[in-house]
Amino acid sequence: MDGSTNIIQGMVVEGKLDGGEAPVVISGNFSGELNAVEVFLEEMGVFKGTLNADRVELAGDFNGTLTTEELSVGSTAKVDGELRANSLAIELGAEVIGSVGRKS
Amino acid sequence: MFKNTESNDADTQKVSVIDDQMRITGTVISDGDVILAGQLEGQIICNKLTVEDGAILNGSIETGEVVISGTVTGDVASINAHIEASGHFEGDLKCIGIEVEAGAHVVAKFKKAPAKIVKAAAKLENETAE
Amino acid sequence: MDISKTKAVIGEGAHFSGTISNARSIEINGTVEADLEAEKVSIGPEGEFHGAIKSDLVVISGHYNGEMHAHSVWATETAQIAGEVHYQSLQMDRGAALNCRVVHNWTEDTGSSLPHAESEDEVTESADAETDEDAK
Repeated sequence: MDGSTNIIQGMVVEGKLDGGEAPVVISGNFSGELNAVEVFLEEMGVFKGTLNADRVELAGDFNGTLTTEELSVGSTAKVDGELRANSLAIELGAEVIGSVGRKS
Repeated sequence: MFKNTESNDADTQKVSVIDDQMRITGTVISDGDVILAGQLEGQIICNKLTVEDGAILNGSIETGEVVISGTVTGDVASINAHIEASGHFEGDLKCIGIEVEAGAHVVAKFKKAPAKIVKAAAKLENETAE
Repeated sequence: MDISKTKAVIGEGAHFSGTISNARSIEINGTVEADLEAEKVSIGPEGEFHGAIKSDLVVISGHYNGEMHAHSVWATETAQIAGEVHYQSLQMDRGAALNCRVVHNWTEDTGSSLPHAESEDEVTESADAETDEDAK
């Protein structure tokens, strides 16, 4: 097993999560603060709050502030917020409202 | 990948080229497509705009489709916008479809596409449906 | 991502504090400070859970500290439990360390209510296991 944190569909998690070294996969509902190395917000996943990571892939609903090295926004993503990334990719189909800039 | 409904042949679609030697200050309006390889300070309104790698645009863009491989500073109101890996964009993006390739430099505010663009997109969808 | 990952997991190395709800089956391998209501909770050997748990089944192989209300509790050999455990059925493996109050026949309802006419203790103890019914 790879030790990743898996917030599955249906789960509602509120609070502060530090993912440690392993990836965090969100198919459920997370609100609060997330610090991790790698985050996958799956298509059914909903995130509200602050996200700090090295690599992020968004395929679901994101609302809040995101700071990362690498950001990939998929075609199913719905993003509303402030995105700060050094490397940004957005797939056609993604809905993005807010702002994007560099991480630092 | 977004497919343009019209091919870019010079026969079927008028293409204007602002070559890399040119510097324009002002407003450029075309019913057809424009390729910007030079510099534009001002506004451009056209069907499809291609900002080539090396080109510089300071101002605003109003298009059906824009492909940015060069440097654009200003606002973009377009049905679709594509920022390529070599692209450098700073400004507002008011588009329906947005695509950004990894490597692109983007500092932008994403806003709702203006009504005019939304209408144009709907019209385009109806036309392709026929 | 791998679709076969249908189990809720707080991974090893992860730290969480807050609330978790609607988790039917969850595995805790990291450190969690939360109140949790579920059907099955599994605290792995590296897992640490601080808070209240209300569950049908709880399997503890790591650390637990808090107030637990469960129908079935299984403390394995690496379990370390502090706080209070309310149970209907409790199994402890040799090596499990309990430093808590253990209460049988809890009457609260998590949806799996059993009549307490069946007050027959189903505690399975192994020789070396410690049951410390310390009133705190």
